This record gives sequence, structure tokens and C-alpha cells, in this order.
Amino acid sequence: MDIKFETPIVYLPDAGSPEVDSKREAIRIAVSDVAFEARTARFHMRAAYQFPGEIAGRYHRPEEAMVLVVHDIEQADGGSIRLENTFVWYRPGARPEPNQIAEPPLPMPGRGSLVTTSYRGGWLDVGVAFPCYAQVPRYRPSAYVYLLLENYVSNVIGLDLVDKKAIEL
Amino acid sequence: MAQVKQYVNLPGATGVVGPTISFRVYANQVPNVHPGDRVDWWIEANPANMDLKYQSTAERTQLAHGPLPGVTSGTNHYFDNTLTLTQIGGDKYVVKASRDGQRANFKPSDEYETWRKLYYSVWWSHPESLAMFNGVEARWQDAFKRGFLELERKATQATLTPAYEARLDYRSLGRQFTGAGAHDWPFMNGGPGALMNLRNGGGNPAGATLSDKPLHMALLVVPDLYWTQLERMTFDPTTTVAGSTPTYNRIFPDPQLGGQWLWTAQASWSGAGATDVRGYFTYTVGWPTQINWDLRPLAGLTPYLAGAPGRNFRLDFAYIYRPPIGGFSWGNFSVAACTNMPENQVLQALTHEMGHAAGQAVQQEPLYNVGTGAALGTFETNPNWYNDPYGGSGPHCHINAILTPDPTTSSRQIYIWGGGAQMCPMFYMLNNDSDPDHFCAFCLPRIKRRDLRTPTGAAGTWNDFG
Repeated sequence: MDIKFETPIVYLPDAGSPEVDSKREAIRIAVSDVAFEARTARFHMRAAYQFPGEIAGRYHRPEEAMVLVVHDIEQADGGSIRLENTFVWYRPGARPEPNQIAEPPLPMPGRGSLVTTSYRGGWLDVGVAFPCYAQVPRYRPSAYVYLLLENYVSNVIGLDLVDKKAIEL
Repeated sequence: MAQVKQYVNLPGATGVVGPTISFRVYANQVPNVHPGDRVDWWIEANPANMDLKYQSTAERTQLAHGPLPGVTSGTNHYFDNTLTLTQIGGDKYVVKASRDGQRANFKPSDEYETWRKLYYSVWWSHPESLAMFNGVEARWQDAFKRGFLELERKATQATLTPAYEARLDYRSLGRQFTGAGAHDWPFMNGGPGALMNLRNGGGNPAGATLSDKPLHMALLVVPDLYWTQLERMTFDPTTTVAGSTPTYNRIFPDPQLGGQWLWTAQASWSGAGATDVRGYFTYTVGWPTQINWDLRPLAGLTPYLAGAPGRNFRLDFAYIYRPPIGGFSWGNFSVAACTNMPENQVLQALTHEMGHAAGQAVQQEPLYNVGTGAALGTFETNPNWYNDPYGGSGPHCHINAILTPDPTTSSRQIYIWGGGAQMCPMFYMLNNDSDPDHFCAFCLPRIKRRDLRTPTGAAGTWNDFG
């Protein structure tokens, strides 16, 4: 599945940004403007993320380390894309690479408590499109979308391409 | 016989514009032809033209018809035909007309050489950036001329606001929006502090338009540029009433927010709602920069913490910072920073971005039967094409590069210069080892073969702006 960003990713909050409860979740997404036309599904996604400090500290730019996953039940298809503005170029040496500073210690903890004392995060919003070859979507939801970093997974939003709306799950 | 540069990707059908050329010959212009005779037409292709294996029947240069009788109109008797040229650049064709069956005695047309053209307009925010661009422009144009793509500068203008460091946010931080379409590209909305005034993606309807869309790029050259971003930090629970935390980000007091560098800062404790504590913060620039807070004067907090053992509070703040960037291309907008960049790297950035517009790097091309033009169902693969798993993002060229272990890519390998001949400007990152203005022997012919009626790009479309 070829997922595309139809807008640049903006790493800023706005009135539509969700709130994340950092003790209970690391990433929360909100989806609006679900559309389906000419065999392309579209949606606008906003996210707030707050990782425990030691997790965020493994990355220079945790916001660019996250991945968007689209699980298309309608077509039995799926795909993922990194949340990085890849059309941007940087002066050589202008920013630290690689993004990951340290690998997570193994075994990684399960998706247990997020309770700690310090968190680092931010916000983002972006327009997303992916191909949907079904002439007429039938399933509600037709697809599921979520963000993840390592084993920190956001809430999952269903895309109802029949009624063109987001379904909070 | 004159040689004509025919710009086949431009819309239209007059003069040197467009892929079609109409011919009309009169009976007295073609040897031995009289009213009632048939005139034969044929194309003489230059032997150096692009191999027909890359072109389907419909894509090939062709005449509307072969031998046909003419038309009488008043005292005239004439013969018409129409040539439709390929979209491939660098081919040469001559159309010949003779009395049917007497090809040895023909009337030749001019020689048509196929070219493509894209337009650009330059905005500059500082004399230094204009001087840099002017210094590399000819070499940049020449890089594409070798692929029979002409870049024509339409206009040159100073930005509405001069800027040494240009702020290029995709969305205003102060514009709190709820739906899609929140990207208002404030630097090009023509308002106070904006650099440009262009229509963008359904927004800024009062903005100016670009001619010749989707073939016109808006190119902004600035000494330096940045955008703004937020990082949020939360300490919960904490008892640190006066403390600091480090950041390696460059904190940005936002003039559009009255010099504020904190977007939010709130302290919360039991019995008190979230309290705005932005006024209790400072920062100390360094490496790292320290973000400091001293909430001791904050009414109620210190007495609350001292009131019983184990009490704590929540401190939550988000600060504005400016990541370092060098430039970007979105659709038909491209911006490049020039200061402190070697001239060759500025040139490589410009060549690389326009190279993407010209469809580079190409992974594979469909092949066709040379005789019939029928699709063979097979593809020619570019041996130097690669993408994200080996470094960077998007389609790039790794000629003269080698793979070396790298933990940051999904393949665990990344391309670096091999130490021999120079790499192609379509290598994935700016460097000192790519030829900044000569495409490699694999990319250059693919630029010739690219249909440029609709340029592509690394992101967006060439209809996005103007």
C-alpha cells in the first residue's frame, strides 16, 4: 500500500489536537475529514504524544521516529509510513543522525504502566491519502489507523469510508 | 532547412509550442504534383534519436496520414497533414512530401528538434541569496539542457519582507484550527511579515497566480531558513519548585506571539486548577540550553507542598523552537538556503530538486516492440535506482556509491561515496562528492525520456501554488 502525505507534517498543536493522558497512553490520535473518491481514501490526522522521558530520550526527534499504520480490512491490505517530512533537506551535519541515540534494552517491557515522573512529547497534524481500489466500500470501518513508536501504540481509529466518518474505537 | 526547437510539453499548437505541427503544401511546391494527384508524406528520423523500444505506438512521433489527394479551394490546390511529436527530448525529425510513388523528388520541412520547457520565478530575501543564485543559475540550467529540458526564468523579485533568516512555517502557530486545510502557508499569504503572495492549495484566494501551470515553479532563495515546532515536557509528579531541564533545541521567542517562547506552562496541584506559570520560566542559552523555572513566588504552591508529607504537583509546559533546515520542495514551491553552503552544494540542491520534478530517479521503464510498438510486458531496470531502505527517502541514484553497514536503515546498510568517480546529483543527500550539475549516464537519458507535460516532485503537485 502506497500511503502518501497530502500536506507537510506540522509539529504544532491546534484546536483540533487531541489531549493525551500521559499516565495511561503515550500517543493519542484524532481523525477528521474522512473522504473517499476516485479510489483514494483520505483523512486528516492530528496526534498528541507524550513518551516517558527515558523512551523519548532514545531519539533526537521522537516525532520523526513514529510510524503511521493503515490496516485496510476492505482490501485485505495495509501499509505504514514514517512521520517525517522527507521532502526537506538539511545542511550536511546540521542535525544529529541517526535519529535513534540508543537501542532499547532487551527484553523490552510489555505495554504496561506508563507511570513515571517525566514525559517528553509534542503534537502533529497531517493530511493522509491511500489507494482504495474498492468501487464501493462496504465495511464500517473499512480501515483502521494508528501510530506507534517501538511498542508504544496509539488509540486506533476506524475509517468508515461508506459514511465518510471517523469511528472512535 | 532550418532547425526548429519544438517545445513538446507546452500546451498549444502554434509556432514552437506543443507537440503538433500542421503542414500545408500547395501543388506547385511539391515536385511533379498537380491537382488530382496524391501526395505522399513520411518522417525522416535522425539515427541518433531515442530507441523506439521505450515508446508505445501512441507515444511515437507520427503523421496523421499517409498518401492522400489534395483539396481544391478557389484557385488553390493544397495538401494537409499533421505531425505529432514524441514527448521525448532530443529527437530530430524532418517531414517530407512528394508525389505519391516519387519519393526521390520531395519537399522537406524544417528539422524539428524536441525540447521540453519548465518555468520558474525567483523570489529572494537578501542580496546575498540572489547573488548566490545568479552565480549558479547558468550551470543549473545547463544541467537540464543536456537532457533537452530548458528552464526559463519568468520573473525575479525581492520578497515582500527582507529576511536573512526566513521563517517558513506550513501553518501559523497562532491560528487555532479544527478541520483539514489548516495548512495556511503563512509566509506566502501576502500579509504582514509574509515573504510572498501566492495562492496555495485552496487557501489565500487573494494571492497571485503563476502563469503556465502546472509548469511553473516558485523558487525562493534565502540566506537561511527555519520553521517552528513545539516540544512538550511534563513532570508529574514532582516536588521540584525551582529547577531546570536541558534541551539541545534552539529556543525561539516568537515575535508573532509577542516574543513568547513558551506556548503553555501550567502547574497543577490538589485543590488548585491548572495555573498559568509562563511568567516563572527563563532559559539559559548554552549547549545544552537550560530551561529554568522558579515557582517559589507562586501563590499557594509552596505552602501546599509543605502542608503534608508526600505532596507533589504537576508541571507541564511546551516551548517553541526552531529546527535547522536547509530547504525543501513541496509541489511547485522550492526554497533553498545559501549562506554558509558551498556554492556546489547549493547548485546540487537546486539540480536535485528539479531532477525530482523531471521524474528522477527512475526505477524501471516499460519496453515495447520496436517494430509494432506493442507492449512487451517487460521492463528495463535502472541498476542505480534505490530508495529508503538504503538511505534517504524517495527514489535516488547510487552510481559510484557503495554500501556500508548502518543501523539506521531498514536494510542495515547505507550508500556512501565509493571514493572513485563523482556521484550523480540524484544521490540522496548533499555532499562534496556528487557532481552538482551533471546527471549521470543513467539518469540523463531518463530525463530525456520523461514526459514533462505534468512535472512530478518529491511531494505535492505542480498545481499546489500560484
